[in-house]
Amino acid sequence: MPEFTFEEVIERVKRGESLERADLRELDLSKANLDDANLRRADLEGANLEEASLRRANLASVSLRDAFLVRANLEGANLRGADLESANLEGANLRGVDLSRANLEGANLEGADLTGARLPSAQLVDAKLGVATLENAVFANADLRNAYLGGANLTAVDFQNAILEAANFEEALLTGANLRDAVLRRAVLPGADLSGAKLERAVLEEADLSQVSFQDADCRHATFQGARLKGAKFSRTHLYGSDFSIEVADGAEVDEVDFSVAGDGSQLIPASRLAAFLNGKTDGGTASPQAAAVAVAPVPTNRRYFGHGDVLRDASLEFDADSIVEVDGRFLKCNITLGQGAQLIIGREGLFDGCQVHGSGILIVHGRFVSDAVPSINGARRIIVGSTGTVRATVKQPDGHTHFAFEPGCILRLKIETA
Amino acid sequence: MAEKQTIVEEGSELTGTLKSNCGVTVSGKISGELHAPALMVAATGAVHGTVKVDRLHSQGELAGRIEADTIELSGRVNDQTTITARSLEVKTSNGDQPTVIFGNCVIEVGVDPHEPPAQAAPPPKEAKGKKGQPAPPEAQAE
Repeated sequence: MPEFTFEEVIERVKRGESLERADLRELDLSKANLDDANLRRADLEGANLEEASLRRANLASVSLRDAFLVRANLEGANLRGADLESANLEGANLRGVDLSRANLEGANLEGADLTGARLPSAQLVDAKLGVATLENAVFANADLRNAYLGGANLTAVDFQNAILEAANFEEALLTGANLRDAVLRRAVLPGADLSGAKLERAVLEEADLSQVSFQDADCRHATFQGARLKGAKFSRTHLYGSDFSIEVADGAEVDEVDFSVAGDGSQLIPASRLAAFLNGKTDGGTASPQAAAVAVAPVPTNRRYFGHGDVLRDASLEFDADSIVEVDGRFLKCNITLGQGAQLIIGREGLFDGCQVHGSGILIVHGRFVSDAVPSINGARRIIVGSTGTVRATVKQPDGHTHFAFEPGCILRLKIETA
Repeated sequence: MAEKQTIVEEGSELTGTLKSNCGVTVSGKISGELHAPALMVAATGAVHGTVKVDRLHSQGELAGRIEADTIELSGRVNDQTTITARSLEVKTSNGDQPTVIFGNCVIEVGVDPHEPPAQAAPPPKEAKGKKGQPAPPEAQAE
């Protein structure tokens, strides 16, 4: 039995009284006006809130498991940490709601309006978001495994670092979406529009990408292994450091694609020269040999990967020119020499502690590089620190200076010295 | 109405302290101390000295002690410069020239949760004089 009747709830809300922790299970509150109500930690499991108005309501940590919220108006509501497992929110107005860390597992959000909603670290496994409007919504670090987002408007949505394994995005509009570091393994995206999307380091392995538009998309360091690309359109797509190859691209419609390190279009390869380029014959119209040495990275023969859990201590390593080395493990007090154009990528999980890096290579840091050695980095041609990267080091530049690039959010304790 | 700006035009040079409640755009040169909510240093501009601002966007030359909440940087950073910021952005260079040419300098950006706390200076040694009596002369001199 619920603690209050419909009338009592309405009366309390009218008087501005709190319903915090109230037991309202199974209560019929359809079409109720609960705007600005304080329902924090209330139990509304199985409640009927069809067409109810809950604008700006405080629903933080509320239980709405199996609740019926069809066409409810929750605009601007606080639903942080709320439990909405298996709730029905079809056609609901969720514009600007805060669903941070909320549980929406198996929830039905079809046709809902989530414009500008915040769902970082939310659980949306098996959720149904078909034809929903999600423009500018934030799903960073959220879990959307097996979720259905077919036909959804996902323009400029932030899916950074989200888990989207086996999620369905067929015919979805993802133009300008942020999918950096997102995991889209086995995801289904036929006909989706990823024009201008940011897919750096995204995992697209075994995904169905048929008929997907990648025009102007930034797919640097993305992985496509085993993906289905029949009819996928690559035009001015940035592919540096990805595993894009002739085999991977089978059936895709490739116009001209960019292999510049910076993803700035300075290494555009036309379709007619792509095969030669991908097979390492970089004389087919690319720029200088130095530029080619950098640009040849897409299908390196000397790519190495040190996974999470790998630990190297007191080791001396030499990596050839143009090799790509990715590290998600830990390197402790190691001495590393990079050949010209060799890339050392420290992944988000990677740690270099007390190491020294020499040579005219490229160092890309998404994890941590901390070293008191002087110099800790000597002669690097480029040092790029991503938004999740930390570098504490003394950097000695070569003649002609190191090219530094820092993304907002990175942490730096650098002492920079000239040659 | 456009936001008010303090502008130091190209060819102008200002030496001393500049404190402003509005944004400052420098196309000329400032030597000294500068406090403002925002500072824009144009490609022809230079700021040498102590800078404390909320937002800094520099395409010109910086030298000295630079403190800002957020910094977007290109251009040149001279020797003996310290840059301290909560957030720093340097875009990837598009050609043979780096986006920023760094001299011998120090950069401190963001808060590193793993960083060991700075060691507090040891408390000054108490002079060991007898209670109620002055300390011996060598201790007083410390």
